[in-house]
Amino acid sequence: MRFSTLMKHPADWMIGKNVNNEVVVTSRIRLARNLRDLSFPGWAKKAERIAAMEKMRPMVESLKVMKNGFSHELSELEPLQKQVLVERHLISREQAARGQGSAAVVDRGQRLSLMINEEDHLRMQSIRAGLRLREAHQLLSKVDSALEKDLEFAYDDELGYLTACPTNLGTGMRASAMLHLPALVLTEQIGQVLQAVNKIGLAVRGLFGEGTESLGHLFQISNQATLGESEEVIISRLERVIAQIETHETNARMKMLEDDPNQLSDKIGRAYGTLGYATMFDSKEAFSHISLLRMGAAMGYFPEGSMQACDSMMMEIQPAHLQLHAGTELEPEARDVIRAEILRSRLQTLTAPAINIVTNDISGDSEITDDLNFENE
Amino acid sequence: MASIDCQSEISEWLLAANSRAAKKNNLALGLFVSEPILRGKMKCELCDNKATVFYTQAVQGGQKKICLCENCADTSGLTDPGAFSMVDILMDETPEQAQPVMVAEVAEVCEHCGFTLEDYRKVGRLGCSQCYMAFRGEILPMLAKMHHGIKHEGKVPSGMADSLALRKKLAAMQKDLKAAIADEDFELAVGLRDGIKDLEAQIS
Repeated sequence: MRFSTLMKHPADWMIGKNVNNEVVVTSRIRLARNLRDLSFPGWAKKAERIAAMEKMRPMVESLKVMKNGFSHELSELEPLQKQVLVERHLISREQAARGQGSAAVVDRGQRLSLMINEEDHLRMQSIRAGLRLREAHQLLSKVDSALEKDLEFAYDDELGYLTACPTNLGTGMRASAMLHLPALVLTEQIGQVLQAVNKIGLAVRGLFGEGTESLGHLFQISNQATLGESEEVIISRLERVIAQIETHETNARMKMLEDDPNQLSDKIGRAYGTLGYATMFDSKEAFSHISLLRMGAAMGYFPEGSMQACDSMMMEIQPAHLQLHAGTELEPEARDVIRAEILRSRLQTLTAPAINIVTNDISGDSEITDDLNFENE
Repeated sequence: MASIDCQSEISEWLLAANSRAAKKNNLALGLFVSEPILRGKMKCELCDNKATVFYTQAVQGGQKKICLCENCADTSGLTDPGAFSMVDILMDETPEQAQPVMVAEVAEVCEHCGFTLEDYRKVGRLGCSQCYMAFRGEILPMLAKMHHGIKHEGKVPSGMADSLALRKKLAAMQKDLKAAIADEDFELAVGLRDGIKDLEAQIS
């Protein structure tokens, strides 16, 4: 599969068909594996790294799930193309910084991506829409077992799978979910929730993992410890915590609707208006407005399918996607103009929010909720 | 089993029995072998004979010692480098019930890939999978802080799973052997000993 083909098709998880992904946008599992006795990529000399890649790459490409997939050495890709892969969560930022001797292999549905010679010899990842960590793990574990037949992975009875960084020892597994939590942010409960998450040993990160800030009220929650607990135990705990946060977010949305429906309508209406008419947007501002539309879509303010439209917008307005769309590299200021242009045109196809102003004459919340289209919930 | 305060490490006699290779094996199993000091007044922990074999094993938070007579050391497999895990079983049955942990000397450099301890301290990453053996003593104490324990749970590579099953079987047979010896059922013991030798050959 060529890069252009990959670009034309959104990933399966980006469409989120028939899946509840209003709050839990995506689930992701990553496994780290290394070849026994070979130097880890960060320490290996170039020739060693290339030799290791040449050993692994044909095996990865010949996996059944990788049929007609995308496979490129990082040195063959333009910086902008690499950045697009990062924005699609198909490769890590670390991998994008690499060149010769590192490769990315992605399946046709973009559910599965394998990075060769990232920090570890192999970083395998599977993404799914909604809260589906188990499914993602099953797929990945199968891939891992298939590769293990031909590749001897570094393993120690006590320390499990050996990784370049001791923080990944044991299962080598990082399970994470991307959560959309606008109501918890707006009602200022997010601090408490994230603190609690930290306390139980889970990590909270921004959109692109470690060290990135939260955009569009999106938060990534993942396990921190990889050694001493089985994959099953790690996933179960994460699932429980995520389900709880999901409930908190849903409750916060309901409470906003009950307590002050006019204010909620106002926020969503303003976001819609700004996105539809502004002529300059930096990523941060654009994301915060789209986030409100996304929440509105989940709450029935917009027709069905609008939430997916919001998700595509979030992807399209990221710097590399935007520059690829424009066909040229752009300075940040020029990007802000193109970003607003893209958003204005997208908003043309999005029906205005179904807003009913509640006046003092109308008493009781039941009538308000009747006016809102809850079928989409 | 009485807890005996014994500071010596190992008898001359055992040290002599150890080849260089066996010594290496000891390290991997978490056993310290150091200068021999023979102690005269100790009693064997398994019988009342004079103890001549002193063994020290590194355990979490300290050391665990065992003193045996020549005879008991022999039957417990202490003198056979291939059967060191027997010692583990003995150690486990001492009153403290401490879990032996891997404590090896920290090397300055990984002989396999040339990565140094200094490098690790600087970047927090390792050079190759063998570095985990070379710098184990440095890495292990830090793991408890970042993880939920220091013993892997979960998926095991399929090839390893087989050898793990064999090792479990081996441990069980070694226990049976000990019981057989205690019961003075030497016929059974001989059979088990041969079985253990076969299994060990299979594993290595």
